[in-house]
Amino acid sequence: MSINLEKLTITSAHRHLSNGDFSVEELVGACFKNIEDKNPKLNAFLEVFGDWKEEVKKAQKLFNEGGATELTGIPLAIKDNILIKGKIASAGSKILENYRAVYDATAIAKLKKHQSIFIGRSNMDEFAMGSSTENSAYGPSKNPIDPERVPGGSSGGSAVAVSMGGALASLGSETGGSVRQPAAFCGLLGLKPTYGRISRYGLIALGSSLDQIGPFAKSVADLEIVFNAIKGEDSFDATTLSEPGGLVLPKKLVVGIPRDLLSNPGINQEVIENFEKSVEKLTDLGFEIRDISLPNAAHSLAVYYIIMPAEVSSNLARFDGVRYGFHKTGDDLIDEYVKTRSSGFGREPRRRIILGTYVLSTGYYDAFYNKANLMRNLIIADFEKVFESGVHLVATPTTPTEAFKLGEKANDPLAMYMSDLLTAPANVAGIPAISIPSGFSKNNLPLGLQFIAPAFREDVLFSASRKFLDE
Amino acid sequence: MVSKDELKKLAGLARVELPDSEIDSFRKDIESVLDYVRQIQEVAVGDISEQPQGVYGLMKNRMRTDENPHPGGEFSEEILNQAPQKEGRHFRVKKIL
Repeated sequence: MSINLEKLTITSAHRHLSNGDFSVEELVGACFKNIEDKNPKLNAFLEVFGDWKEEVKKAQKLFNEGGATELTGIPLAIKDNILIKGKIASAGSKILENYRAVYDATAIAKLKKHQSIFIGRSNMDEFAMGSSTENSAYGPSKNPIDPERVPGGSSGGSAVAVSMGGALASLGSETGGSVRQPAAFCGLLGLKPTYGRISRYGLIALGSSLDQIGPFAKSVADLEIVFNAIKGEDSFDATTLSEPGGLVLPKKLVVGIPRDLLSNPGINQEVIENFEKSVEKLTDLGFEIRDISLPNAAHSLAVYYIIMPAEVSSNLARFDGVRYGFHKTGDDLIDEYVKTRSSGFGREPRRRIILGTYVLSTGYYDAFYNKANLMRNLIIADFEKVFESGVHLVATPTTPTEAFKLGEKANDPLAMYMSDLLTAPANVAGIPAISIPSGFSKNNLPLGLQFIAPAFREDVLFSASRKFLDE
Repeated sequence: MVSKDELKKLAGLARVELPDSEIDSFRKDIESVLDYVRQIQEVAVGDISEQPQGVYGLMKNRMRTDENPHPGGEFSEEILNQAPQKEGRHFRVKKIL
């Protein structure tokens, strides 16, 4: 049978593979054909892996002889900051251009157990710093729906890979919206799990109190399959948490609408109109809608742009040209560090390193970094208060605008940062959130609806999303 | 406003170069971000706890017994293969003293 990759989900591919309608090799071959046709224009993949034939054989064997899971033989794209042993992981940066991972990230090791097929590594903003992939050292990815527009970022390549039919699902990473925003811009679903639910072992760090690996997919079921496969406590990541038992899905879901957050003039009117339609649909579907207030959540982006650069300045200190990565010779050891880092890092990492060094320096530490941490606690308290009052989910649009044009915000970092306005609160609070397709703008570009849930309640996100998408 | 000297000093501390050709544009970018994030200084935080809250309050140090080490050198070669400069089983750097 012919394989329509733009529509094919993991669940239906698994059915077809189980029935023998097509083989793993045919499925993977169809992805490669699509990549060959579309990647030169869209730049979703930085590298397509060449050693897939053996892996495909192993996967097919599981179908033929038993033992195949829903993820067996499923082609996946992996963001360039997640380590696969023996493969380059450059984090979209020149400083790691030739770096080959010496171990598997835990998420990768878990997927290998299912014998999923890693198609290639997907493009991203350098060190995941950006909202458009325009900060990649290897050129931007383009939005498959309108190649003059950005796919979003920082996990833009992972979104394009799925949207263009180069993989059935993908892994990205989130720090302030880097999965949900590109999912919204490319018409996909994207999940930012609870902080601590997925091991970051083998994820190249950006902001360690914020980072989480998250999947992209075309259906709620697919997203849930990938999430379930990679979640869990890990002795290699001390920030992973065990799951609380006995969580029961509420019969009738109460959705809170944070009117104060939505009054921000940076949110496009068309986006608000689309969101109000989604709220009407939720009402029709039997959800209870309540207006709520998250008085401090509006400051999330400001808190985020203090904490994240502070953590960046610390995390990126490891790139010194001594142990791995790019090296540039200098007059003495310090000069080598400076030359290596100045040539290896692009403009955005250097900007954030300096900004982070500033907010952590004597005289500014209390006013910026300490204050931001206190504000973070206020934001967490805001959400807890709302959830304790009987609200199960908070809903907002995912992004303030539709996918913007390449170059539109490239020279104005603050304008670019505003893309995270509605996604950053969940990262700052450490709670899970999902973006699901909610229709189209007048320019026929996809828009996203975001649900935010209490810690560990990904099940509530999936349940509400299923109802909304009639899945 | 962050001064040029302050910016140069910070760049030096962070071991990155800030060439004169870039300093004005960096200053403008960083100042616009600082201007935006200064909004948090206006917010009264009241008696909010300084301790980590939410899931962050659940995080604990995790200790393990220091036993069963892997055989010495088991991973050395693979790791050293990624080093830009090495000598035998060591990373090579310019002399420090």
